[in-house]
Amino acid sequence: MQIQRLPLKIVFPVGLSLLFLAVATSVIVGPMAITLSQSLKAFTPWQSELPAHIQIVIQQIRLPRTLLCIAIGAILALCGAVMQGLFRNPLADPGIIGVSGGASLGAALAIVLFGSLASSFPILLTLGTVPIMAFLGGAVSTWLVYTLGTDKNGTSVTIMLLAGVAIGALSGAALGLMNYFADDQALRDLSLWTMGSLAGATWPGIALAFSTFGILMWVFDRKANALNAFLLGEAEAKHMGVNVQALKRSLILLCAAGVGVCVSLTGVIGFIGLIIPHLGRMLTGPNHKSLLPLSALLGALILLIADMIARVIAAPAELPVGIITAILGAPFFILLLIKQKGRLS
Amino acid sequence: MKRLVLATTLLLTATSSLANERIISAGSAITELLNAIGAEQNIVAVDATSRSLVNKNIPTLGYHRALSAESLIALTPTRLLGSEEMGPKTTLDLVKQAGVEVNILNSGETVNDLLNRIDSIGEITGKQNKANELKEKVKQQVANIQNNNKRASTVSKKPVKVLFLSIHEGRPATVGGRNTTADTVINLAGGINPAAQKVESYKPISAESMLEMQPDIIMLSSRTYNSIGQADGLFKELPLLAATPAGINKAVVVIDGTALIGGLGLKSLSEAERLNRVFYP
Repeated sequence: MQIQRLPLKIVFPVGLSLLFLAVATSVIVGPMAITLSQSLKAFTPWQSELPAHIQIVIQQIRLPRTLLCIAIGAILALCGAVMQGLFRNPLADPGIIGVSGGASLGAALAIVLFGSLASSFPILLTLGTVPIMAFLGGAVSTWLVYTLGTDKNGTSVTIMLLAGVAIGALSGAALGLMNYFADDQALRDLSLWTMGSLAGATWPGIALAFSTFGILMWVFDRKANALNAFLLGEAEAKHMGVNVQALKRSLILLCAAGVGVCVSLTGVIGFIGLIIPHLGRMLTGPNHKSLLPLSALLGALILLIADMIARVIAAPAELPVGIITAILGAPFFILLLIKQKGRLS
Repeated sequence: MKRLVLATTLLLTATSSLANERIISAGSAITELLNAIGAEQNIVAVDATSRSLVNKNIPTLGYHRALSAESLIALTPTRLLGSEEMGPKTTLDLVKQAGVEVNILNSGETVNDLLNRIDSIGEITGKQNKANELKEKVKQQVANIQNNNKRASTVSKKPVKVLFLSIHEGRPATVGGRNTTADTVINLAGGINPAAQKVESYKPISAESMLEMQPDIIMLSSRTYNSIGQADGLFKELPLLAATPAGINKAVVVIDGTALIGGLGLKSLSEAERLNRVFYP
């Protein structure tokens, strides 16, 4: 399957205008019928006569959610692209280094242990424990995978991948074990959480997500050339003057932090980190200089579209967005596998 | 739309008169009480657990722990009723900001919880008289069961051991342990729940443990009963049960599934009364 590669200077503006369109749609579309003119008025509250509840829906529900979507989608896709480059493995995604698994486990512990104490704790505390525990869980599992894969000769990507699979299996087992010790309520909370949702968008959360994205984008962009060298192989990259060990360490830590932040804000949202970089490579090729910003853009766009579907498809109920990303992503993933198969045989 | 919005905002400032209340009920135990005191025409939307209790044309908001703030506000309710489990908190905060009254009612497992819940619903809707009538009815039902239990014990019957099982295709069977509505219903109906000492809430257990409990009667939800092919299907699914009194006598009772969600409700109580007659004819 050879697709005509397009230059970034064409693809990027097109993507950006699509994103802009999606943002506008996301603010206008929802279970509540709000006209375009009303939506626009909500952004100029000082001169509009809007009913209070429409103000609230636009300003405190749709807009924060839309912004959070953009940041989370961008971070997930960006980390996915970096991971795939680093592991030189087209099927790598942030989940593979054990971040998602560890984070889920952390969240599960918080929900099961502190969920039962929720009545005696101030609610604020229990709301805060889940994200914090998720972040810690992700950090610990990444550290474990990294340590397992590293010895005096450097970090072995293969060992890390395998360790990631093992850690993933371990956290899956621990989650399964909890099924037998948790009460129904905690279980339901947990299953909702592992499917991800952007409903809990808060301004501090959005600020955290965007600053995380900014830092990651800036650092990754400076490492883009080193990542390109990496595509030739580790030894070759070394000969080209890349400090391979330092590069690996910093990128893995940053990806873990990025995904940890995402998971702690929205739960686990799958497939974005896996699929989007491939889409990017199909459009503009494997050069990380263009692939990284494009992945971020596409990630934001696709997650926003998925969230819109999640919001309206079962209205007035709302689906977890992870279900939608899986529905969109899984067939695409299978296509990828078929393509890979053709290349390997 | 605009006029409707204006009307509701004006309403919010006025004292609540039931005639104009637009209630969203997030919990079957609450929906059934609204129906029972004649406030069903005020319900504008319900959660997934109440679906069977209202007309088909009433919108369903999905799961009561994952409510969508915008959908709630879009229905321009004056009031949102739910249990402590209702959430997420961010949604509730936004709904309150939009001027909707949010009332949290208990979803407890005891008869007293139910009586308190009826009181709260009466207060909220201003139908105290109806609520009091309903409470009398509940007390009467409890008294009926107790009298029947007294009568049964004079005939020197041992209390029956009733095990609640829930069976899903391809997964181990789940029993109803402590702190479940199934447990409350069994106890109310004068039975003993052998799973209560061993597990809390609904947990999968091995067939061996079931055998050890030696239940006299197996209780299934109506849904399980029909999906596994009734009593014969149960003993095919769990052949070990043949070595229990329930298996020997083919003693299987069915409970309406809606009686088991959202704490002890009116339906749970009437099912307890009915089952009590089955346990001790």
